[in-house]
Amino acid sequence: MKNVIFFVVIALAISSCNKDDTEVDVTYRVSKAYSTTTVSYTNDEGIMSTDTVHFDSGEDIWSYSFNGEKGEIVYVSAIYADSASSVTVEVLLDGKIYKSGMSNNEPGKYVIVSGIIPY
Amino acid sequence: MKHFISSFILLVALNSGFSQGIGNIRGTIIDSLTMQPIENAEILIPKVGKATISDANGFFEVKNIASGYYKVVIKHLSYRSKEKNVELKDGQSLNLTILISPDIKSLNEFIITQNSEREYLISKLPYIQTTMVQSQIKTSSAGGIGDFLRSSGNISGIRKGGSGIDPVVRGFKFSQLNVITDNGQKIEGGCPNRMDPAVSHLDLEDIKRIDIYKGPYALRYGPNFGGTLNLITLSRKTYDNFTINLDALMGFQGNWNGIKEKLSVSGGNRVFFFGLSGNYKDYGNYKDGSGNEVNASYTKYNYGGYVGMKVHKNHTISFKYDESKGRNVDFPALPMDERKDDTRLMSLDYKGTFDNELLDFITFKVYDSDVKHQMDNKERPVSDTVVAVSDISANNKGLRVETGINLNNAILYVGADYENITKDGERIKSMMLQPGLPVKKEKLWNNALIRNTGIFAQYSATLVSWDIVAAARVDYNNGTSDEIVISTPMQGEIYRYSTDSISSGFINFSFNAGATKHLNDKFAISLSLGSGTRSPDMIERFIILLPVGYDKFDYLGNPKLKPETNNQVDLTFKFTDERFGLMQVNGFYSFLNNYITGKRLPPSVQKPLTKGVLGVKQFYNAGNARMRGFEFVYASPSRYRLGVSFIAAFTYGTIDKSSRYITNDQGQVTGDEEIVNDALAEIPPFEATAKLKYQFFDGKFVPAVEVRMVAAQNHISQSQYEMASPGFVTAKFYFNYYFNKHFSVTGGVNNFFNNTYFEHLNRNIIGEQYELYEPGRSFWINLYFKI
Repeated sequence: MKNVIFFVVIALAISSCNKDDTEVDVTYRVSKAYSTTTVSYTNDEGIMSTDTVHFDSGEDIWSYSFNGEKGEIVYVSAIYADSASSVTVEVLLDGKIYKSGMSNNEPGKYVIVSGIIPY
Repeated sequence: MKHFISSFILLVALNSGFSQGIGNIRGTIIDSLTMQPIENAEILIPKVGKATISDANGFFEVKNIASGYYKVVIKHLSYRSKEKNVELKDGQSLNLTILISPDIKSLNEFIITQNSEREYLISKLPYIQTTMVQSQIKTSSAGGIGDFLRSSGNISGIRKGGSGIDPVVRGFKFSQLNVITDNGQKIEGGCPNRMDPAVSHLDLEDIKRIDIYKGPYALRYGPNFGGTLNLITLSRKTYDNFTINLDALMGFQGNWNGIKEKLSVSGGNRVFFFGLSGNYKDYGNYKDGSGNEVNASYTKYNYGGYVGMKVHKNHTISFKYDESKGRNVDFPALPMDERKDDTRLMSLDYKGTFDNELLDFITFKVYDSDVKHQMDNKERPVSDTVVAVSDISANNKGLRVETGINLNNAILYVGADYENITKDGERIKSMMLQPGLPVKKEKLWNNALIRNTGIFAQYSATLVSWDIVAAARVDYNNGTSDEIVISTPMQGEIYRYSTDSISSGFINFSFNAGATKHLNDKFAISLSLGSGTRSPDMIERFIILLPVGYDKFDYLGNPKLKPETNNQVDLTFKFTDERFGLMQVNGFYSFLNNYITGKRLPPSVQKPLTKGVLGVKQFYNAGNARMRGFEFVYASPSRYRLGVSFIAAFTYGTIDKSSRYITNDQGQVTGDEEIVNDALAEIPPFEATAKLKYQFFDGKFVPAVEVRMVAAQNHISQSQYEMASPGFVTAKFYFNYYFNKHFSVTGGVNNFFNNTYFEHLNRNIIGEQYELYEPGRSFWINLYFKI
């Protein structure tokens, strides 16, 4: 009988140690822009940051990565002033595109991509 | 009140003055097979009409009996009755050890008892007191206390998700019920939507007993309006020799893919006792009878312990500590889910009993209950545009002191209690589609505070064929908050309660009296009259615009509310017979004054802050309401291998005057109309439950079948736009197998026919037109280990 109890105790201890992995690799990516673009995003501390990015060609990519937790807000926006420009904004979770948005020749319009890291 | 107290003092003086040539009869009730003490045995001394019940150590004591020859009768549902003739001499404390035999061999704590009907044999109260015991919990698959309580007669529950079911007793709910732990500790839930009612902060597996008092009668335990639930977790058991016990549970629930685990260690010696325990529950979504998945997953765990000491022969001090956690608890019928709940409960208890003609006992308790609650809408579609996160801290700390004074054939309980409730919290909204992710903070409570100080007395007497109880209670309740201001960028300040106008204070009187007349040793009739007053609670006074009610409105607190009063009468017939079993019929009528409910505010006064609601309602005193109903119980004697029981219950509630909003074709609210004799919302319909069990192998294997029939509820509130609900029938099968003293198994199948149904009190799924359905067929099994 003691063996049974021992097994139960061990099983309970092991099962109580199981912990879900709550961390997710988050990447913000801004691309396909042809002029100076203002990028705002929540950083790894959840605080809003703003970068002014000079895109020389459509090949340039701006990105920012951090470890996020499930349930955390992800937010990135982009805006440009040049009427001939465009922009594509993406949020990637663990390397896969989670949400995206884009604009073409729409100066002064915010492209906002936001959401919650799914549980 | 002064006359009342004077009368009690006079009674004490008179009774003590005439006490001469008396002695005490005490002893221990022991199981003749296992030699273990027997709890809850009834000890009667018919000649003087006195009775008591054995405690967890099998101990009993009947004090202040005149010297002479007596017959002592011992009764217990699971044991054969026994009589013993004794002689009590002047001043003697007679000490007895009485062995009684199980009705069927090998009865043990795992056996299925006669369920909630059992208490009617031992309750001498003139109103309904139900006791649910640990063996019932073990043969239940309930995930929480609210769910488990639904198996008792005329107790329902408001389901909003997989857990956190809010108990409803005879149609009384929320703050109309006084929910306490271990005779006095209170817990203030953090959530304004009542995701976390007080019962949700304790694990069902830690419960040793639940005492349910129906009606405004149990005034010893706090202000009482519609009933009291006393959840007992604390054990003060001591041991003759140093002992360590280990209990473990592993359970599995099929439909939910849920597991539950428990590990506890307890022990002690003659002086010292202790206990440590931990519980873990991880339940997934369940499927209803049609195979539709319901988001009802949750993870909960808790750990804690207690330590105690007999500092003197009859004086015990104990300390208890518990931390419980809730994580990712889904509530599909509410606008948000519980993301995180951290609760810490602490209490310090003293109990002293006295070998004294006058003083019977003194108890003292001081406690602290702290709840940190976080909820959000992150898993709802609306979070694409607005993410709302609410953080609330709620604290209830207080104390209770009570003494029992022996009178001739009577006991007088006198005591006082105090509680201090604080609540604060805000909702943070992140505008997900706006540049810069603007954040808006809205207060839900603003340092709200309620204090309640009460004094109480209860006189319980046994006079030959009469049992009499009278009780009274006075409470001083005051509440305040920092000022409540609501403003919008467009309109500026639109609503304000300044600190000066937000405070309120009430002196509430509650009282009751009742008697049981034993017509003979089989028939008894009881009548109880009571008036219980409760002050408005935190939500009703201070909530700042949240949909906390049944309907789809934001609710605004009202610091100017008056207390509401329940004036109730209960009439009960009891019949007990060793061959026939027991039968009880109860009828009750409640006349409620200053009934608290919601009234719509015009949009020009206040617009809602919650997306999707129809408008704003503010709590107000609506006048008079009435509730009436009955309960019927029958249970066959446990002496037979075949056991049968039947419970039926019904409640009907109306409000004299209420108002209903009028909408136009576009769904906009355009006005109000008055409704006379509207139904009260969220009143459960008529229901009946029949149980059948059989004891095989001398009671080692006990299978049982239970059929529950619930009528349609068509008496629905027009003012709350309540929906009617259809009737249904469900069946379940369960069993209890006692292998040996180290191992036992319980298991069964709920909703055996896989019916698709919902209880009338289940809330609507948010964003859908249909109700939150109950789980479909579900297999479950619990394995219990004990050394």
